[in-house]
Amino acid sequence: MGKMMISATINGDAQQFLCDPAATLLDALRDELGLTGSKEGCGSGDCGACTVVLDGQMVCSCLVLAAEAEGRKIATIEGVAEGSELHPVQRKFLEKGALQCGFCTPGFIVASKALLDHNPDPSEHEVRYWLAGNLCRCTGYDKIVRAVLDAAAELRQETTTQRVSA
Amino acid sequence: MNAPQDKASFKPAYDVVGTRPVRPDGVEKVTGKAIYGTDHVAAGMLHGAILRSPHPHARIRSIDTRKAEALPGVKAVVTGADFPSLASLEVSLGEGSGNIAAISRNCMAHEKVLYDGHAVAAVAATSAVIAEEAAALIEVEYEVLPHVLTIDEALAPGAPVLHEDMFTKGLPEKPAEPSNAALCFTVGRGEPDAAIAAAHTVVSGRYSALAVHQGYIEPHACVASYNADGQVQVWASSQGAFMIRTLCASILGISQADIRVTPLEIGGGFGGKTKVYLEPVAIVLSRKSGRPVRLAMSRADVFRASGPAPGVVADITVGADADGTITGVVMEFKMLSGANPGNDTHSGAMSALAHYNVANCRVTGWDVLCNTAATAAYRAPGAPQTIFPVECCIDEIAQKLGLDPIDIRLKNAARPGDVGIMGMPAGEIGYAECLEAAKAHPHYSAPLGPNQGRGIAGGTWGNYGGPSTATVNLGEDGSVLVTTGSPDIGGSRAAMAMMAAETLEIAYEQVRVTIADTSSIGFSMLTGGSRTTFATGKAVILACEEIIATLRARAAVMWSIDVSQTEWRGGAVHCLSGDKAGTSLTMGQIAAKAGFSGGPIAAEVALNAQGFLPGFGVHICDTEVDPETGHVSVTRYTVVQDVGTAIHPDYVEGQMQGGAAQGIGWALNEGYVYDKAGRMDNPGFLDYRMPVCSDLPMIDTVMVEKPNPAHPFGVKGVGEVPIVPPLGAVANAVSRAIGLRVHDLPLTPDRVYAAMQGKS
Amino acid sequence: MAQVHPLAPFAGQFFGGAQVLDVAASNLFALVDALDKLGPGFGEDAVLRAAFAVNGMMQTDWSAPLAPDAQVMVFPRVAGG
Repeated sequence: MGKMMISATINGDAQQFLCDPAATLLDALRDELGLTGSKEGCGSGDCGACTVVLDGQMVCSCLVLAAEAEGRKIATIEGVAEGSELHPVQRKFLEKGALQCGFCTPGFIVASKALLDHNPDPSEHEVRYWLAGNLCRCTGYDKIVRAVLDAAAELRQETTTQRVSA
Repeated sequence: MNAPQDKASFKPAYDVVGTRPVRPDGVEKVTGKAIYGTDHVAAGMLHGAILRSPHPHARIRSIDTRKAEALPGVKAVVTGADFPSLASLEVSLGEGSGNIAAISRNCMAHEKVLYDGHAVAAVAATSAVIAEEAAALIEVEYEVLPHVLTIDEALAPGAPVLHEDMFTKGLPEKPAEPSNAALCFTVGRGEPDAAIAAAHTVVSGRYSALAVHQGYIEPHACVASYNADGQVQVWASSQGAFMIRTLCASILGISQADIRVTPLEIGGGFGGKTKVYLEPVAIVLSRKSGRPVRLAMSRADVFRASGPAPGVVADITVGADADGTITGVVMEFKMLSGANPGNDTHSGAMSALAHYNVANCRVTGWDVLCNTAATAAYRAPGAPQTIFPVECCIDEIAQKLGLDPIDIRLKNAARPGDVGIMGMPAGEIGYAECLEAAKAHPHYSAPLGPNQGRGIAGGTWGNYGGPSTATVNLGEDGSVLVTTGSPDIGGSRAAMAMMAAETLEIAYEQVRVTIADTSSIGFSMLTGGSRTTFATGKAVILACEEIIATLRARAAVMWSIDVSQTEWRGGAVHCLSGDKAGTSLTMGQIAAKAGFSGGPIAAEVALNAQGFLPGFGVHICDTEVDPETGHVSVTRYTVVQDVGTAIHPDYVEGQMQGGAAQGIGWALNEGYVYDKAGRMDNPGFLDYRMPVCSDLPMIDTVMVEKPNPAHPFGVKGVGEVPIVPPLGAVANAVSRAIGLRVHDLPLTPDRVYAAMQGKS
Repeated sequence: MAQVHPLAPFAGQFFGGAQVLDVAASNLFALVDALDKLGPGFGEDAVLRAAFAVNGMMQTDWSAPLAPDAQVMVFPRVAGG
């Protein structure tokens, strides 16, 4: 069977790519679009290293067929920073030493941003359960949880400031 | 948390060391730009696939690759016949040694397959889909042999033997028959049997732990490119690019100068990436196809075919005086090393009692083979398995004698100058300080709730030094470029930059660090043994000192004074006499004139770092056991460790927290499970259950900083120690929560529940 | 003379179970050569498997000078993770 042509919006840009009908979204992102920030740790949806946001929903891109992306919006780790300006979650990961090998980090950052986008004030408990689908073997999660809580606090302050100044 | 105040007094004041700057490779890693094993693409690259044995033990009668080769898009198919038939040859691999024939046959089976997942053939094709399809078309005729999976099965009379040429080493007489026991090793001193017979209190038991995987999230992956002139390039994620070069050169009979290995970012290793699995196969596929070839493992491949840490069964008896002094220990343990002789028996035996003074002891270890994946190093290899029974027994003695579990450890703790089981007096070790710090920690005196218990355990690991090379080059503007050959697995680039900045008395941001390929820098032993910040760090510091000497000499010439009349201060050379007295030249000013003086300003230091010291840790663990299910929750956890000097405290704490989490997983959830046919039953993250974020509490850390006098900044290794104590700490916490001891890990709900039912 | 204390497996494998050996050697290369004469095959094995501690410190640089009264322990090399 031949390849399929898929049109989707990726990190805000209209993109077209070819894919095998059996290819996953992760394969397409990595191999067709060169977006290798999303990682394959398991291929079975257990490690979360391939986490992306598909039409506002956090998904494991290894469990989504590339063909399912047709006409949809996909946000990956490569689109988290605004140009050269890091997102607060990214900055807090660096400031708190929340990564060691860094392989799981893109998935954690996409998942953490997705959490804060819909829950700006999560408890430690909520952070831990939201991130329970992302495996990290290096850190014991302590510094990751602290980074996310810190980023949440910073984002809330910014929102408040903006509201006041506006 | 930092070290207790009274310990801070002997620590010199540093400007950079001990601060927490952002790591130099950080931005690339939080933005998804960093290039790991499967991210590297070579022009014209093919995709490989490996066919793996479905049998745990079988003779390969024939392999028919014709159908695979006929599939359009297939460019090469290789089997064991494409590899040199090596005699049994051991090569020195830095810390240890390895049998090249065994390593080669583990990459690609020759006559026999030894475990479920053993590679038997490989394909390179124009796409991964075609490669997988072709691999499935390869027809292998097996003569299935009986297999062994457990220690009892492996050592039973008449058991099927994995290696017909393997006779147990370390026995007084060479055995008449080959067996699955690779090695017997005993260390000890005094009269342990008599001491135990005369002891006031004696405890004993049989303890076990299952094989567990290192669990790095990045599967093994590499790209190899073989050129027609015999020169090879390899891009791989591993703990040692030079290790890959050494092994590929030996296995394939290629000159080391013809293999250039570029280290990619590594997505975790923990000892498991100190071996080759794919690289020699990718080189042979590339040689045969004439194109670069990528090979990558699936998660199931990683579990089935890459190295778990060995499981253990240990029988132990410990005797003590009424005051808690341990008078005698006898332990016999058997490590289940998988398909090839393992490396954990010596270290397990030598580590078991290394944190205590025991006058009378005998520790005997057996290295036992079975039809499971060949084991690999895992963070303090061998030590968690043998220290776990020791820490459980000490806890039982404390309970029997009504002693505080930290006090009994303090009474017996190894201290500087004490002669250990190996006959060596201890250096500036900090076990007692860790025990004191644990006792003073608020966690230790916090109240416990219902169904909760608190466990204590200590542990140690020897660490290492060894060969490393570092270069330091100044840019024409005076900025500093540090290059090493030590893959950065958890933030060591930051540590290198910090030590360089501290030595040169400049800002951290003025230093950048590169991990070079094997053709661009001299040899460094792999990143392992908790050696990199110590040994490679020492090379960086000495190279910076050479740079300072060069800059002073250049400045002295420019000022027409003797070099003794110059001073290095604040990243500049200061003039102390003559016309220019009181003035200074910055690194940039001197570097800009390098072309008018002695040329580029550069230094290279290659060394064999001596003076490494063991590390020690004490963990406090609170668990709560659900009386209705037996499920164990870790409710609070504190790690105390003698870290020497913490160069970057965030990454030292990170090592302590990550090691503790791995140890908690080993104690509570993880383990290799096989079905009756000898196939791994849980080769995925869903069924091989590593701790997730919601399983763990915050992990508090206390860094006890007792500097190593043999390192300019006092570094000791920190990476391995923290996986050692958790097995005992968790087991002791559970035993105190439920009022009885479960001797077998993991402490799964069914096992704990059954024990609780047995009690009532 | 350096006092050499070979531990298992070297003591049994090469030196008839001897606990202490007196060897004149200026460094560990010379010491390994001397021990190889006492226990043929030790030299080859040592390169692959032996670790040495001199006066209580691990010593992997065999060229470092050895004091005449050095206490040398010989035991199996171990590898870390």
